[in-house]
Formats: sequence, C-alpha cells, structure tokens
Amino acid sequence: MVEPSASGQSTPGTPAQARSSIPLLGAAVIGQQPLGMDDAARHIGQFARLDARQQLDYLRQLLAVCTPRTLFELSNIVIVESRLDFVSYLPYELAELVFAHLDLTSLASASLVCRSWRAFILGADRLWRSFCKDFAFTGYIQELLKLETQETGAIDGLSQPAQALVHAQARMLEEVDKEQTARDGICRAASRRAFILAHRTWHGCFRKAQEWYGVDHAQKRFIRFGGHELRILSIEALGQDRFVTGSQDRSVRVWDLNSLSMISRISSSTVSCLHTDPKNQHVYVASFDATISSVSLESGVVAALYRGHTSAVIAFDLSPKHGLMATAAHLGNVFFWNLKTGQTCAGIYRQPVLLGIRLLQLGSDALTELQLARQQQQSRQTLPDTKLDEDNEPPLPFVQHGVDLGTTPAMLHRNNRPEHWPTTTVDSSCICVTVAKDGVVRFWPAYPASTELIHAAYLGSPIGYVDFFEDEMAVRFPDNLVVVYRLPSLTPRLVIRHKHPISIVRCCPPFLCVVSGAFVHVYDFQAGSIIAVLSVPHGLVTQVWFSQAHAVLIVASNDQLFAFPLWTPLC
Amino acid sequence: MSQIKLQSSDGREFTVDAKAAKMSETIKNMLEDLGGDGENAIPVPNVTGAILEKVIQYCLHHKDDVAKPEEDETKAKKQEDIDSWDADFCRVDQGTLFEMILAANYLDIKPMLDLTCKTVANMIRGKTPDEIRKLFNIKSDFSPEEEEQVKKENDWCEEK
Repeated sequence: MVEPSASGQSTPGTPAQARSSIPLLGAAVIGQQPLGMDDAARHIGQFARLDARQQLDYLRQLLAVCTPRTLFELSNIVIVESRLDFVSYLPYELAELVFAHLDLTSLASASLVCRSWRAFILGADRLWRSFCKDFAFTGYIQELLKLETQETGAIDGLSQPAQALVHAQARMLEEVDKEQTARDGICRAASRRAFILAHRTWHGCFRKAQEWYGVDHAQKRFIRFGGHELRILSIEALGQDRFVTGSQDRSVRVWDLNSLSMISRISSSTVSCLHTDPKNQHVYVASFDATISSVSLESGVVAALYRGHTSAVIAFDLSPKHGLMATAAHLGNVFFWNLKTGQTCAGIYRQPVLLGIRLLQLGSDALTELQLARQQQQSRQTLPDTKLDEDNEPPLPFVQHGVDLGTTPAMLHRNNRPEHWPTTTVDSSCICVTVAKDGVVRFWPAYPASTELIHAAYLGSPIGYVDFFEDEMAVRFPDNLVVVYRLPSLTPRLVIRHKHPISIVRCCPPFLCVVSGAFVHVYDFQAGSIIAVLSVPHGLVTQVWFSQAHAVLIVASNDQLFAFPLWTPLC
Repeated sequence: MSQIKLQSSDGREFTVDAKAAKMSETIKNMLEDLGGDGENAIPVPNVTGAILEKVIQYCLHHKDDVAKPEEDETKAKKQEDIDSWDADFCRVDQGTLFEMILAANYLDIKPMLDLTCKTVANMIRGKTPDEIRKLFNIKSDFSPEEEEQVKKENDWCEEK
C-alpha cells in the first residue's frame, strides 16, 4: 500500500536548511521592528528569486505567524487565485483532450471566453475533425466547401466556429480524396441556393435540436404529427417552411414545418404524385383517374384539368420555363402538354411500363455528350457484343447505349435521323427522359416536342424504382443495388450495395434515402456512406422527404407522418 | 515481483502492487527495460509525492478493470457521467487536478487521463462564457468591437 518513506525527510532542502538560506526574509518575519511598505516590497522581490522549495518553506513560516482572521481572508484569495487557466497551463495536446470531451454548444461557449481560448479552439483542427466525423452534416459542409472553392468568402457569413468546422472538413477531404473536384456546371448554378440552404440549416439545426430534444432527447427521436386517412404516396416541398402530401384518400394536405401542423386540406382525386409550381401558388396533382389537375393552394379551386390519358398517371414533370409538362401513364403513353393552353403537343404511345419521367434542360456540354451517344448509336453494328457477366456476384449495371431491343416498339427503330434534332436552338431546348421498368432509358425531344426518339440506352437489367434530383437519377436494381446516374450521359456516379430489400429510393440532398420496409437508411448523397438508420414504430414507409431548411426528415408510413430531426447521428 | 518501489520528484518513496503500477505504460516499459529487481526504486521525476499518491490510489482501485474494447472509444467519449468513486477521486482543487492530468499523461495511464480531462470538461459544460471565466479566473481581453462580435456569435450557441 502507500507508504511515504522516511528517506524523503533526509533529502537536501529540509525546512531547517531553507530557513538558514534565507536569513533576510526570516529576519523580516521574525524581527520585532515594524516594517514599512517599502521593506515589504523589497522582500517580495527577494521572495520571487527563491526556488520553489524555498518559497514554499517561506510561506509556511509566514502562515505560522498569521492571525486566524488573516488566514481566513487569505484562504478566500487563495481559492480564487489558485484557479488556473488550464489552456495556458497544460501542454497543447492535453488542453485539446479536455475540449474533445465537450459538445459543440459548450465548445462554442468556451470559444468566447478570451482571445487565447478563442485562438486555441478555432485552431484545434483535430477537435473539429472529430465533429466532422460525427456529423450528419457532411453533405452540407461539402456544399459550403464547393462554394468556397468557387467564390472566395462564401463562408464569411458563418460564425467562426462554423468556419473552423468547414475548414477542418476541407482538410480532411483533401487527405481522403485528393481527386475530389468541384461538381460540374449545373451544380455551380445551384450552389448559391445550396449555400443559403446550408447556412439556414446550420442555425435551424441548433434551434430545433434544443427545442425538440430538450431535456430527455433519448425518448424524442421522432415526432408523429398527423397524417391522412389512407396511404400517403407523395411528399413535395412548398417553399422553405411548408410541404404538401398527397394520398389515396382523395386529398392533398399542406403542412407547416415550424409547428408541424396541417394548414389546409384540398380535395382532389386519388393522388399518385404531386409537383408544386415555382411560385408555390398551385399544386399539380396526377391521379389514378387518368387526369392531371392544377389546384390553387389558396382557394382549393381547380385551375386547370389536363385530360387525355386513358390510364392512371404514374409520373410527371414540369418545366415552367418552357411552359411544358410531360406525363407518363400506366399503360405506357407519354404526353407533352402546353401548360397554358392545356393542349397536348405530342403523344408517344405504347411504351413499356414506365417508372419515371423527367424534363431536362440541356446546355452545350450535354449536347456534345448526346451527340457522342448518337454517333455510337449510328455505328452500333460495329459495337463489340457486350455480354452480361454470369458470375454469382451481381454485375454492376452497365449502360449499353443504342441497343437494339427486340421487345421495344417499332418507334425505337425510326431514330436514325439525327438531323431532326434542332441543333441551332439547343440552348433553350428541353429533352424528356423516360425510364421504363425493363431498364431502358429513352430521350425524347420535349421542346420543341416531337415523337422522334433521340436516343435510347439499356441500363443492363430491369429496374424497380427511379427518383430524380436535378440532373441525376437514382435507380433501384434487383439484388438491393442502388445506382445514381448523371443525366443525360448516364454515367454511374455512385453505387450503393444495400443489405436489405428496397422499396423506395429518394434523392433528398444532401441525403439519399433508401427505404426497406419500416426502415429508412439515410446515405450521404455525395459519398454514399451510411449516415443514419431510422425506423417507424409500425407499418411500411411509403414516402420520405427531407427539408434542408429545417433539417428534418419527413417519413410517411401508410397514413401517418413522422418527423425525424437529423441533428445528431441517429445510428 | 508483486511489489515495486516508486520514487517521486521530491524524494518520497512508495511501495506499490506491481499490477497497479503497470497500469502506467511508462512504468511498465521502464520495468521491462530495467528488468527491475524490485530493490531499487523507480524514479518518477516529473511527479510530486502528493500527486503520485493520488495516481497510486487510482491505479489500486482500477487495477482489475477489464480493458474497454477499442470500438467503444467513441461512445465512451460521449458519455458525460463518471462513476461515484471516480467523481470523489477527482474532487480536488484545480491545481491538483491539472497536475493529475499532467501526471496521467506522463505516466501514460489512459483511463485516468480520460477521467481527469472529462472532469475538467464537465466543469465547462453548459456554462456561459462569463461563468467559465469565473471558473478559471480568466479576464476577458476582447476589445469592445470584438465583444460586440462575440455577442453576435453567442447566437450560435445560445439561440433558443
């Protein structure tokens, strides 16, 4: 056990020796003559020159002659004076270790203590890195980084701790992947918006986290806040603070994200999917009754009804710039509509069962890509005969451009007339992408509308689900495989091998949500790493949507709506 | 060799159970290097007797702990709670606590380093900048303009 040994007492520098080595000070204390303050000051100067042991011995002697009252007052001073600024006292690594035990909020608070603490905390790269790793915000930070590389000073608006976090992430990314480059043109155009969103989210997260998690955050991982009477099939954003849901119960409901409550209910027919117009005044509702209607959100009055399909409309997309709508119906018909007049501009009939449709505005880059693809198509007889890999491991879906598919309608073969594509006005043109269940992606001219196929490509296998975001699409293949393609080049950007059977895939940057039964797996949309796994208490998830501004994932499970704040990693 | 001797910087000698002493990687390495005969005291030049006593107290209490698997490390980091013996053990004045951090670091006793750092972190947690200043006897040296900026930034952590 602990045994203070006697040998310690015989080492040099015992109190007796110390006393003899400081005669002047000793005399000052012990002497009978009253001293002036000048003498005291001189003694203090001498005291400072003593070594640590001598100082201690001297103080002991001093204490021995103190009155109880002086001792009491002294003890009060000593308590305060003995409080140490550990940042300057401890070595760098150890002070950093202390801060590493703090949460972000406390750390922000600590960074406001004084200059040296501030410099220390903001400069402690390793500290911020550990937060980066924990954060569900990797996507946001990447957005910010992208901006910083494009327009210097973009992150100046952030508070300094947030900037430190961003810089730490930047350095981490550099190391992890030096080849990571800024995203292409379309993203650049959208980056300003992304920045604002990221910034808002940053603040929104803190607010929400405090509001929702409050004291007992363990029990409040999600909030059930309402729903429809029947299954919810569609959720879409409506500005920053609202969203709309469409359900089989023949209604569209508008919800407020701040209060998580219903604002209004609009009667409609059975909703298959929804889109909102850019001004957030109307919602376009595609229905199982083969119509698409545009409903005013304020009055609930049907502003326009688009009739012409003969089967349920399962997907559609809007291009307000071109005044255009593309719709896909269950039986394989695709119509292009003039939004204003309600007339169909073109109709493409007898397509295989379609899963998704998308209107893409094309820049000149995309044009070259398509031209290349078209050349390939024309010379397809000389293409090597690509065979599917027959190994046990499911082959990565590959894109086979311009394939000759025996099962596709005759229309596909009438496409060897590239001169039809209006090359002169391509900058303002728009193409329509249809994705069919058999795995064939087709590109059609949508503005000006025509039924002449531009290009077709086979994804290598039949597919189960498709979702679009800007110029990318996420496709669900058999064998629990999700691939994110860029459009229109169809280059695979991200491959996720999921471990469970998948029902729905939803692109909601910075996340990619993959739904398996009652579970929602949240992946990073850029990196493909898993961020969180959420589950609803019962029932199957029928749709998900993420609000960047509020950092909350809205999950529809049959007729119920749940809100998951994605502030902390929920894995 | 079930007992070994340690000598603090101020010359005090302690006889300690070898298993407890080997919680310190530094001492463990020294023992291996020196091939320790158990007779000569191992010098611990950077640690005073009073602090070494605390360190030994900690090691004796924790010598039979099962080492935590590495993967728990991140989770353990997040945990704010400290068990009651450990909390009592750390109920010392700040100077002693910081000396204990230094000693735990020098002697390379990871759980003790974690515990002491966590104790300091817990003192800071949830406090306003002003409270932290009082706690560590720090004067704010921000200029009025900086003060204004700092107040603005307070929104970042105090926004409710």
